[in-house]
Amino acid sequence: MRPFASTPSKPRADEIDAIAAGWLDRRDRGGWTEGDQSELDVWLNVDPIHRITYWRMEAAWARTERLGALRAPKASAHRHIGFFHAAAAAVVAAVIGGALWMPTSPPAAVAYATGIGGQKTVMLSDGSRIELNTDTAIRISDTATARDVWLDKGEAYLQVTHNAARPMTVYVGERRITDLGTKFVVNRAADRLEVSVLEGLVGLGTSPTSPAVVLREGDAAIASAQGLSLTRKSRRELSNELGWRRGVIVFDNTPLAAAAEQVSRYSAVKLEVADASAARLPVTGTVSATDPNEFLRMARTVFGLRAEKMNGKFVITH
Amino acid sequence: MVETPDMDHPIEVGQPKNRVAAMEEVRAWFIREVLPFELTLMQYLRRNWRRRDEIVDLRNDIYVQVYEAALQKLPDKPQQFVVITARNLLIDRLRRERIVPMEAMADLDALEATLDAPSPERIAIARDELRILQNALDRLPKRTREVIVMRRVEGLSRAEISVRLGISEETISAHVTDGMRALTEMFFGATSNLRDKP
Repeated sequence: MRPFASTPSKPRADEIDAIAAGWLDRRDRGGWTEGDQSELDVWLNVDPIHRITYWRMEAAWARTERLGALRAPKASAHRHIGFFHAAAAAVVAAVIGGALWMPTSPPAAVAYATGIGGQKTVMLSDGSRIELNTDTAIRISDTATARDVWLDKGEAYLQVTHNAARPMTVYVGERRITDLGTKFVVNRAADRLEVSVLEGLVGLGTSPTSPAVVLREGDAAIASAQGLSLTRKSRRELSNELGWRRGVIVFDNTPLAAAAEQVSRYSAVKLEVADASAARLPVTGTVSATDPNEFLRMARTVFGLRAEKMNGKFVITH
Repeated sequence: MVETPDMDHPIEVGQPKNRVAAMEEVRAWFIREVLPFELTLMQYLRRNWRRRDEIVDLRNDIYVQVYEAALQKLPDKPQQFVVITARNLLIDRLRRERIVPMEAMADLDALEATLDAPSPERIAIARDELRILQNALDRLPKRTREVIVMRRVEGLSRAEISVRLGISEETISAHVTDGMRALTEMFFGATSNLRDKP
């Protein structure tokens, strides 16, 4: 069973509520282990809303304890038996918990995530590699018959060892990307999905039922609500776009506003270009992906612009 | 005032030093200051957003923004901060839909005047917590209510509940998760969309 294979592009409140309730239920069953806790921590770290939803439900659930005050206290013998049974039940729950309890449990997949400015490389058992860019969350299910990856948000570079017996599929919302032996990069933004192929072939299915479009080396596909568009990218463009793998952001005649947007992806403090004339200034060069100050220094020294901190972000003006 | 990034206030790129303690502080703050305000926030969103099925997701987007700001620094006036965040998000969405956000603005002004003041209403609400919980419990479907009462009020183990009601522990889990979700909604948001479960 793969409960999350075709979630809508952004998990909705309802689904997250269900998972949070599943975690609290699992805790309430007893036999909570350190392993359970670290699994929960992984889930909480995937998206702030996971943590908030969990806090909210936990706070409401904790308050139900006060309902006990409305009832007459139970006889102590009864409590005692309850306690004994609870211990026995905890062992059972720990054994069957994972196997039978499917509908609201998190997927068996292992989750990996990076924060803003973070990067991470995940190696699969067969040597395939997945590199996560800033602010990215994925889940991986690596089994004997399939390698499934869910890109929940952000951008990942995949270098896949082809194996027809264990196909690699990347799920992005309703869409799926199947590897046919290749290197490619997948970028999930709020309103669109971008897939660029560096080597080999990949298939892109834009809905669970539609047939896959085959993309080859140098192809870039952008899937959005408007449909699918295909473009070609040169080696240089692709290499520039993957600068983050080397810790840099590469600009090549990039308008300053677009460049600031790119730098913002890697920084807790966002950058914005306020003037329309400054926004169009073309930027060419390489800046650090881990230190936004480098970009601000460049804006000051190269273009003579100013950066002011306003409302928690840096606004670049003349 | 002009602040240059690499002088007194360098941009924080990595994690804060004591992340666990900071997170715990934000958690306590969020439960104490933000969640009790949910009812007002939801009323505001319902008045100003016509697509009902998007309201809970809007609320969550607002919570994420408030949470992320709180990780940097806890806002001094939590309720004002929530409402301003809500307004900005609504205006942003309305703009994308090309609708003039007249109503949202007018409503905000009326609301803002009453925020962050310890009104008699708020105090009464705090005192009424038990009653709200009791009402919420009474509105649960029968079986779900039985399970929750046995577990939380009578303190029975799941094994005992299973024997008493003749249902499996998986079914108990289903009732617990349903009950938890419904109680959470009724407690904070005062909405109810309950369906009976066999």
